[in-house]
Amino acid sequence: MTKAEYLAELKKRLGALGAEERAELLADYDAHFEHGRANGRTEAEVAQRLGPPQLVAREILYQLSVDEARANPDLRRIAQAVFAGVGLGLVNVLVLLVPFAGGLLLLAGLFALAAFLLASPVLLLIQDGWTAEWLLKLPLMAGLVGAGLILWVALVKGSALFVKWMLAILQSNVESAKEKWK
Amino acid sequence: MNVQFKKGVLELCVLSLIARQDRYGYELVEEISKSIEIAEGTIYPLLRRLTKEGLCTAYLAESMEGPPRKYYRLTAAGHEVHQRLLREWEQFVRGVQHVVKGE
Repeated sequence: MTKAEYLAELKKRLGALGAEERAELLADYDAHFEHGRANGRTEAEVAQRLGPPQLVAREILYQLSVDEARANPDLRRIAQAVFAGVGLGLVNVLVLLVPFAGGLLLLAGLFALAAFLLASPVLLLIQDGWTAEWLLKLPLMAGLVGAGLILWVALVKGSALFVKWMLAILQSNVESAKEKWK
Repeated sequence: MNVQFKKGVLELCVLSLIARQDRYGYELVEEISKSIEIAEGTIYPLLRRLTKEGLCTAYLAESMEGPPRKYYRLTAAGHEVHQRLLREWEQFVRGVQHVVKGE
C-alpha cells in the first residue's frame, strides 16, 4: 500500500470525525510516512508496520464514540460506543452486550405492555362495538388505563436508570485497560 | 495477547519514554517497536487521548531531515499518572513472578 492509498483509505473511514480533527490526525500519519522516508523506509514498509488503515480508523472512531457517549449519555450514543467496542474486541461481549440487549428487550416488552393497557378501551371497543356490554366494562378499563399509566411513568424513569447503568458498565470496560494500571 | 492488556502496557511505555525526554510520534514508535511488537498506527490515537486528558502537551519543531516534528511533553498530571502506572506495573510483575516461580 502506498502512502496516498493509505491516507485516502483512512480519510474515507474517518468521515464521522470533525473536519479539523480528521485533518490533524491525517497530518500525523502523513508525517509518519515522511519520517519513515527520511529513515530509508519504503511507503509499503511504513504502511505495513502501521497496521491496516481499517483497524486504525476503528480505533479512532471507537475513542470518538466513547467521548461522545460520555459527554452526552443517551441510548443511541451508548449503543454506538458499545458496538464500536465490540468490533474492536475491546469490550467484553458477554459482560456488556448481554445485559444491554436483554435490558433493551425487557424495556421494549414492558413498554408494549403499558401501551396495550393504555389502549385497552379502544381495543375493547373494537371487540365489543358500541354496546352496553362495552359500557359495563368502564370500571375495568379505568383500572387497566391506570395501571398502564403507572407502568409507563415507571418505565420512563427506569430507562433513564438503565442508560446510566449501561454507561457505567461501558465506561468501566472502556477504562479497564487504564483502570488495571491505576 | 489480550488487547486491553496490551493497550495498558503501550500507554505505560509511551508515558515512560516522554517522562525521560520530549519525543515525537515516529521516534516513540521506533523506540517501542525495538522491544515489543505493536500495531504502530495505534500510537497516534493514544497520543491524541493523552493530550486530550491533559497528560501531555504537543508542540511542533522544525528538523534538518524530514518534516517538522510534533513533540510530546509530559505535564505534571502526566508525571503523576506515570508514577502510579509504574508502581502498579511493578507490583503486577512481582505478583506474577511470585506465582510463576513459586517463590
